Amino acid sequence: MPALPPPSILFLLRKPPYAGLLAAEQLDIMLVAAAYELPIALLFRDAGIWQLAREQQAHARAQKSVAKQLSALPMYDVTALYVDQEALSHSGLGPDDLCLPVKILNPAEQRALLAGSAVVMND
Amino acid sequence: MKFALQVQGSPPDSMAAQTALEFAEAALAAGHSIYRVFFYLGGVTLANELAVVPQDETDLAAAWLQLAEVHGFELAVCVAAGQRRGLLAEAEQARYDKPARSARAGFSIVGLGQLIDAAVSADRLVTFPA
Repeated sequence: MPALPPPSILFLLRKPPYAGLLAAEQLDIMLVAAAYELPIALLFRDAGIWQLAREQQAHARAQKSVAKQLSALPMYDVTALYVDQEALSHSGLGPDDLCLPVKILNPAEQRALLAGSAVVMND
Repeated sequence: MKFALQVQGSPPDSMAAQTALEFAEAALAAGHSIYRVFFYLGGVTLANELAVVPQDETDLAAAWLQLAEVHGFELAVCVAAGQRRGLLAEAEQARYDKPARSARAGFSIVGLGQLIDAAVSADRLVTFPA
């Protein structure tokens, strides 16, 4: 009998990048999951979109740049990166303003992504 | 159904630990089980033994400890999130040469791998954000 595929974890990211260390500590969970070689995906919604903004003056907050830390994810084979179409549109950001290549999803596609994930980890 | 819970909110500033406790009680009463409760972000401060609960308020940590003992599930606290917030067991107190231990007995100080384990081992992970 073939081994079951490892369960996939979808991280639902809705909070802004500098709400304390929240974004950085969520990223720690992703890196541990990636270290266990679990397939993970990220869906940025609402204010979570701003975590992806390329230009972040994190030094002004005496913190590491969340965008820079997120940019390391492809090195851990994390490439399933999605953004909510509406949140992106409301933010005024375009794909070129983001620190990573992402796929833009409409609500129906997001429903399918949620339904197809074994675990959803929200912030 | 087997539930894993993640509590992210700090008890005096958020309802997360209270709501999660009520969820756990309701789930257990309905015949479900709890695989593990993982305290992360500000949620780790629930395990701070140095916190003083006023006499006319509920000791939420004690309520969690009692429920966990009766039903045999683990109360896990992230070591890294705890260190940032002054939540130290004896090992961390010694390692960082700090003047006090603050972690309450009954809470396990563990790594984030235990959250991932809970997430993939339980049927459902429910997060209680800050």
